[in-house]
Amino acid sequence: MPLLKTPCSFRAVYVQLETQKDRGVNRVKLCVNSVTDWVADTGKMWRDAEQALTLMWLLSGISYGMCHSPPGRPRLTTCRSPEKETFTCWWEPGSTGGLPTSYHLYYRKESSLEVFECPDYHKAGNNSCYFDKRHTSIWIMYNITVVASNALGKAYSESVEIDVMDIVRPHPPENVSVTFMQTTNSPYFLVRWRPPRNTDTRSGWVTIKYEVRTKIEMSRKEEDSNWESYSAGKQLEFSIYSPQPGTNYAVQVRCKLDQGLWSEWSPSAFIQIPDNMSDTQNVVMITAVTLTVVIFLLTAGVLTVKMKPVKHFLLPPVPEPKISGLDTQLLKSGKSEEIFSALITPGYPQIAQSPDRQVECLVISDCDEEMDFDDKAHLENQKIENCLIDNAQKVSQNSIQITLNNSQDLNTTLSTVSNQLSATSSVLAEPQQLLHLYCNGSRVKAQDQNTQISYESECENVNINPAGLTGYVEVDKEKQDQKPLVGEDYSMVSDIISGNILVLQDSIPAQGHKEVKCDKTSEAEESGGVFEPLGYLETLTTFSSGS
Amino acid sequence: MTQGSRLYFAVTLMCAFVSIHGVGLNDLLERASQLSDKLHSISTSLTNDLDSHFPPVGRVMMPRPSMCHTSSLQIPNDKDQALKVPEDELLSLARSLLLAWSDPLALLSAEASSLAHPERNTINSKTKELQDNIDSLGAGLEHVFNKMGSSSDNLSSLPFSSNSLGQDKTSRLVNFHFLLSCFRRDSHKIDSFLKVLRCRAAKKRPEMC
Repeated sequence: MPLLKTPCSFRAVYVQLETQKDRGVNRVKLCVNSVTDWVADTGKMWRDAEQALTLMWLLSGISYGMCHSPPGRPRLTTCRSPEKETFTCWWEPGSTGGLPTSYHLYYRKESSLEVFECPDYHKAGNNSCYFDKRHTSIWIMYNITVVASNALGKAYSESVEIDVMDIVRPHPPENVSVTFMQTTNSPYFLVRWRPPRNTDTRSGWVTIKYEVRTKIEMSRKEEDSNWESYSAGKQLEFSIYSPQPGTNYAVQVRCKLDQGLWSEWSPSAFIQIPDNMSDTQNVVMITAVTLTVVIFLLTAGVLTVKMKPVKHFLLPPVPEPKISGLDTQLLKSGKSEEIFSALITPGYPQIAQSPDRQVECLVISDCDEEMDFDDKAHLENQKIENCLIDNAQKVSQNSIQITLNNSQDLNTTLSTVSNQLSATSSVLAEPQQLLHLYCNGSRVKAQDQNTQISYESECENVNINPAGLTGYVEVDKEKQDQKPLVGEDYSMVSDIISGNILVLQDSIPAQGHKEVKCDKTSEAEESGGVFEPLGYLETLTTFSSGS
Repeated sequence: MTQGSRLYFAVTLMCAFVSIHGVGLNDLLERASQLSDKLHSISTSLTNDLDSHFPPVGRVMMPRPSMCHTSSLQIPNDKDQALKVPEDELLSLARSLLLAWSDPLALLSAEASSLAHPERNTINSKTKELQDNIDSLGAGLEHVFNKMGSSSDNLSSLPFSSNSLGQDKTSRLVNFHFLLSCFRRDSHKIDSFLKVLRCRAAKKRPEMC
């Protein structure tokens, strides 16, 4: 069937049909059949192709659906303001969906519904939005959203609310440099830097604070030492003292604005510390310390060997007070009888007088003088005054109280006195002071040999002041019925003149109160001896310091 | 005794004189800046403490920052505006803000001890510290005002009307957090204004800035 092979043109088929109607029917049929067959064949071909095409189309359709989709959700990662005047936000894109995707950032300010778009997408790099000064406001909440869109759809990120005051984080400081300064006593290295760029530290809008950290760079990797941080305030340089010699240091600086976040650490600056630093210093120190220790040991040795003499030299012994007749050895032995017998000496008890300058003078009035009350008192007062004046003039500290016995001879009294004085002075280990009493009629002149103090007074009033004696001498009582002046019997005191003078009441009513005169023996015997036969003694105690 | 009392009086007078006239404006502003810095840092740490155990629902319930009672005050919102404001106006802004917070902080202080939060004790002590510092700063700013000698005292009144934080535990906690966030923002404003003032007053000493 050649017709099958060669396509039969349609015209040819028609002609054949026209000329040979009967003869060609078969041929036409054949032709037609062939055409039909041909058509059927091509149809089949077409059908195959169609199927193939559909398949292909379907496949490509499927693959097309898998490669292209609406974009995934982007995510805002961080926003940062380096100087509290501008800020930048970065986001992380989601999936793109195979199609070119564009990102847009929209924001809204607090208390306003108006939506704005990012003013600058390029300044801060890819996937960022830079808000310049005009568009930055502080203390206002920004509500920011990023939208990713492509041909197939859009995707919205989660909204983020920020306030510029919370995202302040400066750039690191710049031009960090380290130099080693070798001074004789304290070597150090000086770190210097410049403030980060674009940060305005001059207007007070931000206050910058720096921090420095150093680390020793070890050649061996395993032993990496730790960083040591130092706060540097607002200054632009910092000194680190006493670095280890022969080591390599790494130094970094960072900063922050007010209460904001710290910047990153600046790149490290390195410095090598030389080796031969302060060796001589060490040697000097060591020798000094060794010398000191040696000297100390020597001194200790000397002290332990020669304890006593050194001790006496440094701390001389203080003289102890001694009581005449009191033997400490005897005391220690504990035999009481011997102690007490040793104690009793003529002139004992000797009571040490208090160190304050107590001057005691006795004023004794002559019983023979007969005066009336007023005159007597006046005379007594005068005598008291004289006594006082005398005492005020004397230089030496203490005086010895002496009672003069009218009936006795003055000389014998004086001898008794000098005996006592010698006794006391021997106890006190002081040189004897001889007293000379000159009694010229009614006048008595006493002269201290050592101090050349002389007193003149009435015979009855004797004031003997040996220098340096601290003894209160109580003279032997010649007469047993002499009672102490006042003692415990203050009932006889009727009045006190000027604080220290006691006026004793005279028991003879005829003489009245304020009688200070002594009375005659005979009268005493008559009245019964309530009072002393000699007379009343007025004890005048004055303090030389003056009261 | 009169001698002693006279001496005491003289010393008191001298101290008062020195404290009012002797201390320069620079030192007063320096001290005020330190106090305001401290205020802001305490309020930040308080906010962090509160955030550590804050219920998620609270964030949804939180009122908007524009609802702070001090939001009506007109303040400069960026550096250029702030640097153009004259000194006495800056000072009066700072003082108005400070004054507006004395009542609310008293309320916060009262409520801090009964807050439904595990860090209650820390929060309580820090709130008290805030109150003390506010009082000191207020006194200090009055001294600054007197020292500056400006004619008018135009403090804005920013009343705080509520006297309770809420009825139930959660709303009390949320309102506490909200008030604190308002305060934190205002303390940052006060701090910034005072630091600008400090720098302006120390023209010859740039190290103060």
